[in-house]
Amino acid sequence: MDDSRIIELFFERNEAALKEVSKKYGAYCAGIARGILKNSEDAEECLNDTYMSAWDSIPPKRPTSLGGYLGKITRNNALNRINFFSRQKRAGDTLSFDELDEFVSGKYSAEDLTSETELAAAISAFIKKLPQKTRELFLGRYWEMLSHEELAGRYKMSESAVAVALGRTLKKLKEYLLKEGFEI
Amino acid sequence: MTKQQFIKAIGNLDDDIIEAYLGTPFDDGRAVKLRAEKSRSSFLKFVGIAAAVVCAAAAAIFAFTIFPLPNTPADVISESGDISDSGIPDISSASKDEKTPVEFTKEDEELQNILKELSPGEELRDRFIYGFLSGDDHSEQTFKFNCDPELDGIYVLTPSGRSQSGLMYPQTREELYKLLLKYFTFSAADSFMSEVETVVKSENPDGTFTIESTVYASLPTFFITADGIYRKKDENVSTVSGFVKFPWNAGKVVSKTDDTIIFTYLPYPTYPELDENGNPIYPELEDIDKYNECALKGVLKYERGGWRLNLTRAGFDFENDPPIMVKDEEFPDIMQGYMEQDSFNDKLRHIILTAASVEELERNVKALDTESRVNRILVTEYSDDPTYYKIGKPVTSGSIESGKTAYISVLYDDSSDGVVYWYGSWIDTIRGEFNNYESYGNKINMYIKIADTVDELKELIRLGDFNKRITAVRIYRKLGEGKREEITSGKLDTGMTVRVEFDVESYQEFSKTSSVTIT
Repeated sequence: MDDSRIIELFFERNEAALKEVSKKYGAYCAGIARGILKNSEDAEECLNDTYMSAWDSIPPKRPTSLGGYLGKITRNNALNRINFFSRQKRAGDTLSFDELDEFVSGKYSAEDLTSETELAAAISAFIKKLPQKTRELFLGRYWEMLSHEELAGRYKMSESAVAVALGRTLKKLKEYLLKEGFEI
Repeated sequence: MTKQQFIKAIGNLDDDIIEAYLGTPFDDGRAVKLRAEKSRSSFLKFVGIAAAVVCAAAAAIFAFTIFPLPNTPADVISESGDISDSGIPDISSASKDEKTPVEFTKEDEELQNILKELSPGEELRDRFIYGFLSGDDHSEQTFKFNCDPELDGIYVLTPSGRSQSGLMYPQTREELYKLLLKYFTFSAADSFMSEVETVVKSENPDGTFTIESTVYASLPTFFITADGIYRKKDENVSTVSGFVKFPWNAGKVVSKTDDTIIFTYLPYPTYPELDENGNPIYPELEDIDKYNECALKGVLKYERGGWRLNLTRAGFDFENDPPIMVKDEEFPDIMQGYMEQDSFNDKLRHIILTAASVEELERNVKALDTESRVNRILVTEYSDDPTYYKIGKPVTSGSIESGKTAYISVLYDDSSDGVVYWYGSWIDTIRGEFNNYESYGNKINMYIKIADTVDELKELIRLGDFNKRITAVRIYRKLGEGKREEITSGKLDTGMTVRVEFDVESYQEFSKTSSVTIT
C-alpha cells in the first residue's frame, strides 16, 4: 500500500494502518531493532513499541517519509531499551563507541543542550555531502549501531578498513562542526 | 558534547537521509523485502552474475563471481508503472527514447550481445550474464555515468549505489547496456573491493550529471585443506564465523594429483535470493551442472615450494597467465609451501627464532650452511636516526631481543629467499612473487601506508629491498579519463598508484588507500 494511504488510515484512526505498517515495514524495523538490541525477543517488544508510538504520534504528525520516520522511532525505542537495561545492569546490553573518545569532549554544556536540533541539522548537511559508501558506513555505525565486524561483513571490507574509514569521517565531521561553530 | 548527545543527534537526522539509507539492500534481506513489496515482476527481476578481474602487473589475476542483482530495476520499479509510490517511472516507455547511441568498445560486445536478446519485462532469474575485463591493470578503475533524473526511462543503480541517490537514467537502450556492463564490472570489483569512492564530478549543461567512481580492489585469499577449499570470510560475507567453506557448497574438486588440483565452483552470490524467512539461499553443489555456463574453474598447482591458485571462468584459458600465490598462517601445514619439513628454510627459521645474539645467529647459520647457500645475514636495530627509523640500523654484534631488534634477514640461494623479523612478528619472504602476504607486496603496502612523500616512499622501498630485486619505483597521479601522470616528488596522496618494477620485466602496481591492500 502506498505510504500516503497508510498515513491516511492513521488519521482515520483505522487500525488497519498498523496492519499495513507491519506488513510493509515490520521486517524492516525489526531488523533495525535486532541490530541494536542483538536479541529477537527484545526486538519484538521494541517493534510493538514502535507501532504504538506511531499510533500515538500520527496524527498530529504527518511524516513525509514513513519509512524514515518509523526507522527513527524504532532506533530511539531500541536505544531506550538499551538505557533501561543498562540501568538495570543487565549484562551485554551496553553499546560501546570507543572511537568517539577522540571525537567528543565528554562534557555537557548548556549550549550543547540548546543546539541539539541544530547539531542534527548540521550533521545531516555533512552526511549528505559524503560519498555514498562512506555515508552508509557512518550511518551503519552510528545510526544503526552496527559493530565494525558487522559493517565489515555487510560491505565486504576488513574491520580495519571500516575503522579507518569511520575515523576519517569523524575527523572530517569534527572539522566541519567546529567550522560551523559547534563546541565539540 | 558527550557520546550520548552525539548518538542522540544522529537519531534526529533528516528523514530523507534515513530513508535513503534504509533503502540499502542488506544481505539479511530487510531492505530487499521492502523493495520486493514495491514490485515483483518488472524488467530484470533477477540478473545474475558479474565478473571480476583484478589484474596485477606481471601476475595477472582473474577471478569471477556471480550474483543476482537486487538493485536492478525490478527491485524498485513499480509493477503498475505508477511513479507515485516509488518515484520510479515505468520502463515500458523507455525504449521510446532515441538519442545518440553509445559507442561500444570491443570488450563490451559480449555482454551487449547477450543483453540485446532481452526484452522489457523479461525475468532473468535463470539467466546468467557474464562479463569480464582484461587488460593491464583493473585494480583501479574509474567509471563515469550520465544521469538525468528528469528523464523517464530505464534506469539502473550506481555500481555501489544502494539507495535512491544512486538512481541513474540511461537515455537510450544502448546506454542501458553500457551501464549494465559497467555495473557488472563494478559489482564484480565490489566483490573484492577494499574501498570504492563515488563522487559527482560535474553537472553538465544538458542537465545530466557525471559520476565518477573509483574501485580499489583487493585479492581474495584462498586456502586448501584436506577436506576442501576455503576462502577467508572477511573478503566476502562474514555472517558465518571462522572460515566459509569455499565455494559455499557450490564447488567440487574435479581432479587431484600430488601437485595439481582442479575444481569447479559457483561463485558466491553477493545478493542471494531470500527464502520466506528472509534468509539467503546459496547455490548448492548440484547446481553446478545447472549453471554450467557460468561455473568457474580453479586450478591449484604446487610450484616452487608453494601452492598457486589460478581461477578462471570455465572455457576461458588463462593458462599462460601467472597464477596467484596463496598462503596463510592459519593453515600453516598446507599453505605454507615454503616451509617444507626439515627443509633448509625451516631449519634456518628455527635458528633465527632461537638465536640470542647476532654472533650466535651467524655461528649457527654457518654450521647449517654446509653448501655455501647463504649470501648475506643482516640484522638491524631500531634507531632514532631518520635514515633508519622505519627499517632499523644494521648491526654486526649484540643481543637479539624484542623491542630492540627490528629486522633479521638471511638471504640464500640465487632465488633470494630469506627470513625476516619485522617489528615483532616472524615473516617469510617470498620467492619471485609479490602477490603474497608477508612478502615484498606486504612490505610495499606498508611503506605506501606510512610514507608521506614520494621521496620517502622510494627510500623506504629501497631500504627494504634487501634482495636488490627492485629496479624502479614510479608513482602516478590520476588525471581522469583513464589517464595518469608520473610524479617524482611531493606528497603521496590517497588514490595515487605506485608501480614497482622488479626482477626481469616484471612489475606490480599498488594503490595508496586507507587500508593496506595487496593488489
